[in-house]
Amino acid sequence: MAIANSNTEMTRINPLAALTWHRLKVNDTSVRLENPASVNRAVCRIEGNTGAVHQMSELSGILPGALSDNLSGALSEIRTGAGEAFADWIRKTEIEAVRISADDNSESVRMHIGPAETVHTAVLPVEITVEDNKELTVIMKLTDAAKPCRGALAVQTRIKAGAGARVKLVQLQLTKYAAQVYTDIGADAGENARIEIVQLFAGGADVYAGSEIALRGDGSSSQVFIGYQGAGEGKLDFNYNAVHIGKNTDSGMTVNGVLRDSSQKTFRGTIDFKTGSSGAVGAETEDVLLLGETVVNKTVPLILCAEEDVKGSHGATIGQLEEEMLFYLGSRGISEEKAVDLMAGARIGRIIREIGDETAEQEAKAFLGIEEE
Amino acid sequence: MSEQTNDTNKNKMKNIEKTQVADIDRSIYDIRNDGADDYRFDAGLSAEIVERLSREKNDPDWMREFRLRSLEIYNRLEVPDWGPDISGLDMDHIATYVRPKNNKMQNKWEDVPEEIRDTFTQLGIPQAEHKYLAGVGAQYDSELVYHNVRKEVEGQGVVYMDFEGALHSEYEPMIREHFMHLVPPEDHKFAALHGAVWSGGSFVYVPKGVSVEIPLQSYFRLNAKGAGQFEHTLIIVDEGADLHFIEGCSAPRYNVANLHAGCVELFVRKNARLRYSTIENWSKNMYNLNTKRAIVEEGGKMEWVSGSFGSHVSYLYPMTILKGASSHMEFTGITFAGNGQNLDTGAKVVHTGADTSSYINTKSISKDGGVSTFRSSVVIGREAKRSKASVSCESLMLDSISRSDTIPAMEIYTSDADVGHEAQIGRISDEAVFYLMSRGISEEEARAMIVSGFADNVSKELPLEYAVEMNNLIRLEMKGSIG
Repeated sequence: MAIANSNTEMTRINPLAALTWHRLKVNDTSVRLENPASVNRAVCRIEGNTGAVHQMSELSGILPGALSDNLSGALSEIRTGAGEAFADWIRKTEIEAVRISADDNSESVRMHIGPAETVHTAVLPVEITVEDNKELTVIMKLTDAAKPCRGALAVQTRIKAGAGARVKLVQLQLTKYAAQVYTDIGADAGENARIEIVQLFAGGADVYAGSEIALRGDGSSSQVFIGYQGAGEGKLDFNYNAVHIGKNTDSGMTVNGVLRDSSQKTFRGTIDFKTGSSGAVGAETEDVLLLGETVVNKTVPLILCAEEDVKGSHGATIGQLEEEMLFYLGSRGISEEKAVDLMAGARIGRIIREIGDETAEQEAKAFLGIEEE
Repeated sequence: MSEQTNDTNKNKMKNIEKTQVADIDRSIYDIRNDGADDYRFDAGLSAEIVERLSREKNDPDWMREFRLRSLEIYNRLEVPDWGPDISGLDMDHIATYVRPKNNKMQNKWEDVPEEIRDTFTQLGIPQAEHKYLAGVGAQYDSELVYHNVRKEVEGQGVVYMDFEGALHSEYEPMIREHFMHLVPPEDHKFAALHGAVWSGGSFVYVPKGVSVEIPLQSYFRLNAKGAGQFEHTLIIVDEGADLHFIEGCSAPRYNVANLHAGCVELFVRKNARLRYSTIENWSKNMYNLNTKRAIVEEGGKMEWVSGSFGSHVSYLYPMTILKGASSHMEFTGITFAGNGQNLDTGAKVVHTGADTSSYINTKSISKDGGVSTFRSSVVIGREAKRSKASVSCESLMLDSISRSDTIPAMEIYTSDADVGHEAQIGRISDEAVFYLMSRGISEEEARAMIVSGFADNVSKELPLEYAVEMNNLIRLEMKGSIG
């Protein structure tokens, strides 16, 4: 059973940072979002460093007043990649955020986030605050309910990294039954802070992913690694922005994907050098392997520049496996089908290696059927 | 024209007449003939004005109806919201038709009215024709004032005519078959405007198997203040034929908006090749909303070479449809945006034939508060199996008050294709400037040399004389770039 159309509203999400021809249909994406009043809070189980995690309602009792004030609503101003309309929808759901703040425990926070066993959309806002010179890794596994359902899952994560802070967010989309998965990230980096995001989208649902990282502090940096696999009639729609505001900031975006069957993917990636971001460096690469006869790939890599003393680059390679590679593997007794799987696995495997957590890496490989190298 | 203005212009001409290798002086382009127009329509756009233009041009019925239909489309379509601001362009203040004095088209320069001839002489057009062109068309405001083609080229069966002349000749059926078929008025608001008020332009037909060894050139000059130029260029290069066509344009600077909304339609038949080169140097009060499109049949080759230096605002993205199997396109472009300029340029290509290939290579430079945007789209259709496309764009920022954006898009509808894209943005390396200065070159000259080198993708594709002109334009733009 699907949600009735009358209970949904067409919303434009993942807006491109600068408009281009409308007929290309990449300026944004229209999605049907459920009436915010009828969505559920996503089921969320936490493991690892559970001490770093707080529900808003617990804050006043547990945390020192200053920190509580600092956390309360401070992150709501951080812009996210899915855009203002999506952020507004999340706000209207009035679902309380899970708030995570770094403590002295170096263990990762592991979150298992999934829809409830209903057709309704499950929503979870998450706010991560890492104070000056602290470090935190959060691993989010987006999973299904225990029994098949066709609900959507929407996770919005805002990150505030103080001066010299180190934050790593890993998101693994390992759903089989969810109809749509929305993941929206916004981050703000202080002086010399470093933000790393690793995301793996394993297919099985239409995925809408946005991210905007504001490199506000001088010397701050970000690295984003995205691996995806599209299959069937699945849709993948991405909007990633690296916004250089501070001096000597550094951003990297590495996107590796495989499109099979009739899957469709739109990737928008923007490096935005604001006035004053002198000494900034931004680099973006995308590698797409096209395996299905009727796949659709759209790639829109923007570099916006209002500063002279910067270096920005983008490179994309979109196509099939090289004949020479297939021939080489064939000459080693590897069938074409096996060779294609190997090469597709290698692309995604490159991203999986960035997770940096053995348990999560094994889980991702097992889900995707990627064999040990 | 007043006597005083005439004398002033003549004196200027004596001093600054252009030689092919001399430094460019901006005043060459800024020479204006204040009284050169004999007759102009009232500013604005209405069905009455379009009908009047149609009567003036003695249009066949189908063309009059086409103009009126285009006007309806123009009124219906919205101004684009994705590009540079064009709110300073008010059609109520643009005259869509300006006829120069003694506007009869000539095929000898000595018969062209003196003040108009002087302008083209200063721009070097008759000299260029004499030295290295197979034919020249010269448009002044809304009318062609000169058109000529070398006898030996004519003898090969090459047709190079003014567009309106062709419309009233034996080529009328050919015009009707092709006119605004590649760029329909529904395409965008300013294509519709062109369909409604076009005048002037050139028609070229190169017969099967004919190779035109030296280029043809059309030069468009907009002298009138507060006016528009809407020339139409239609070129058909038949099977196995070969042509290089050069387009030049300039205008004196006024303190009110001028508009250029020309349209270029190019048909490249089986195994034919067409190179279309443009050095655009409109004045910096110009809104350049031009549309260029080519369709290429099996084994055909389309080459664009494009330099954009002038205009206040530009929207310019030559588009190629690679329809035939194994057809090929190359686009080589440079854009230089200086003070007060917002130049949105790039290229579009649609691959529909199998085994087609395209290569887009552009450079852009932003300086003194100029805004340069590279915008492109590459579409590989489902049937375009084994097609290859490559896009390379580089941008140079010369200061921090300017802006440079890169907005490419790639759409691929088949797995059997290879698409590559690379983009880079950066600044002039201090080390390179220091090295040249250590060899006794001034900083200003060193920076100009580096920028000229950056533009070599275009200059090496142009005939020598045009490459020199382009480098001079760069040097002119770079003047005073220090401090």
